[in-house]
Amino acid sequence: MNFLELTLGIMTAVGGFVDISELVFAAQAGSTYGYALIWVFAFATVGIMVFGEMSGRVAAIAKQPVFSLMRHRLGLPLGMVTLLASLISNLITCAAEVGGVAIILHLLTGWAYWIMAIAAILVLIATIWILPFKWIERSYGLLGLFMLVFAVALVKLNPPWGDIGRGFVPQIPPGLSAREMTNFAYFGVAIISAVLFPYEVYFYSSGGIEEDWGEKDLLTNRITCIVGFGLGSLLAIAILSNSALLFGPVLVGPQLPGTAALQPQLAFGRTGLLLALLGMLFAVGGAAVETCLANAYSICQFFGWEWGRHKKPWEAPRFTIAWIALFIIALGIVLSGIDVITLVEFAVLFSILVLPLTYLPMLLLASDKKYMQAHQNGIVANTLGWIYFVAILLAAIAAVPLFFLTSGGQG
Amino acid sequence: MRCLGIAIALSLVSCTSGPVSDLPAIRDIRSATAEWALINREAGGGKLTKAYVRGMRAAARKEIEDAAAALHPSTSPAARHAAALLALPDDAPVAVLRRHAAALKHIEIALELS
Repeated sequence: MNFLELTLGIMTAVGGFVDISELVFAAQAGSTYGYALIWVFAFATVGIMVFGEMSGRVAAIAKQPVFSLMRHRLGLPLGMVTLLASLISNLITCAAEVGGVAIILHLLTGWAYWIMAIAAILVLIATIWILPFKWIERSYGLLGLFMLVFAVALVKLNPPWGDIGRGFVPQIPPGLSAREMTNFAYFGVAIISAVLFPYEVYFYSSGGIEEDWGEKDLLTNRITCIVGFGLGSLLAIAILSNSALLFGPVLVGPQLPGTAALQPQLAFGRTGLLLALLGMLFAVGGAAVETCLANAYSICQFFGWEWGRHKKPWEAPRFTIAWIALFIIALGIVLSGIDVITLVEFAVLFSILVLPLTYLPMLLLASDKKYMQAHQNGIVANTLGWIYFVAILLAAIAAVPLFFLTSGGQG
Repeated sequence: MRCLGIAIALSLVSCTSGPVSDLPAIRDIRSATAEWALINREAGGGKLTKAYVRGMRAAARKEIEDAAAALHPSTSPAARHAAALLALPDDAPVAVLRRHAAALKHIEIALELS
């Protein structure tokens, strides 16, 4: 195990953990319910650790990317439905991330939002075109570490640590009306969806194949998932806690994506603001790259086309056309005027519907001795995998009614 | 099962009819107003960049405008607050913005209890 590689992998996972959905929902959850939703973040984080590790292990041993698995395990018709649903979900998520990048650039430079959206797409396309795969992920992940300013701000603000600690215990705040209870449940489902976004495993497992992982990489995969995602999740929890401390008491329930940057600003002044905006820029930009590539991977893996950034763009032409086209469609959605928060709400809704179909084939394959040999799921991975699958299924069933009952968490 | 169906139907009705259906829009306006107040407070101390202040104020104003358009009737107390807010200059006094946010919060609470 190469410790430099491992450290970089963990730092990349930390910096790349938070995306626009987590920023929005963590900030809103904290201002609305204080620390009472921290446990949902913690619960969902263990889920992404379990399935992230599983997808990396399957990539390393069975050499199977997620969508190739789906086609074999679910059959063509259901596989096609899953493909279409995940394409829509990832595309909306990608548009939300691109819109988020444009807003942050607008707040940093003062230039018009639409100009920043076009500039963002050009830069994102250029980074994928120019950088080798490992450095695409790493550049955004490492620069996303500016997000650590949110955690440092929390320490500086000296919050009630006991209350934050109690937030890790599963709970429903006492005294909620039926309407507030429904809203609380919607936030819970949205956080599970935002942490377990399907694009994360499509990208992570395809990345494992891009980097030609094998048996020797299994330990690195496990440590990266557990430590990297765990520390990344603490960043999201810091945003939630800052929000409970700073926004809730002054009636702010952040509706504007740039509001979260005020948390470090209130602790460190203008420097805090700039660090926060830079961290958000790279974290959200990285997520835009991941969602777009995840979609291109899905299409090519499903139809058995050449794919991968380890190839020259012209050696995998359909893959190259797919990711460029997806970025352009995402830009079209952003320029159509739909606001980013609305996109985030739809991204979270569509994603939770896709999650069971994403994770079931992986769970089945990771437990299959024929493919995985000595590295099939052990009792811990299998038990956790099925517990999380049932939780995701229940969340998916509840998502649509909750979305309409609460007007997307507003009612 | 039947009880569950009725409960869901009742909840749907309660969430989508009458003044209660204005709740999401009122929350949006209240929060955007509170965000605007926070921006103005910090901008007053010179702790923000010009680009950030301009961008956030414009976003808050647009949020209020969009949410106000969803209020019915347009003469409701919340709509009157929204109209008053939109008439304010970008660098409106923090205390005025906070008064509007607090008043909107009271309207929300009253609607939630109704």
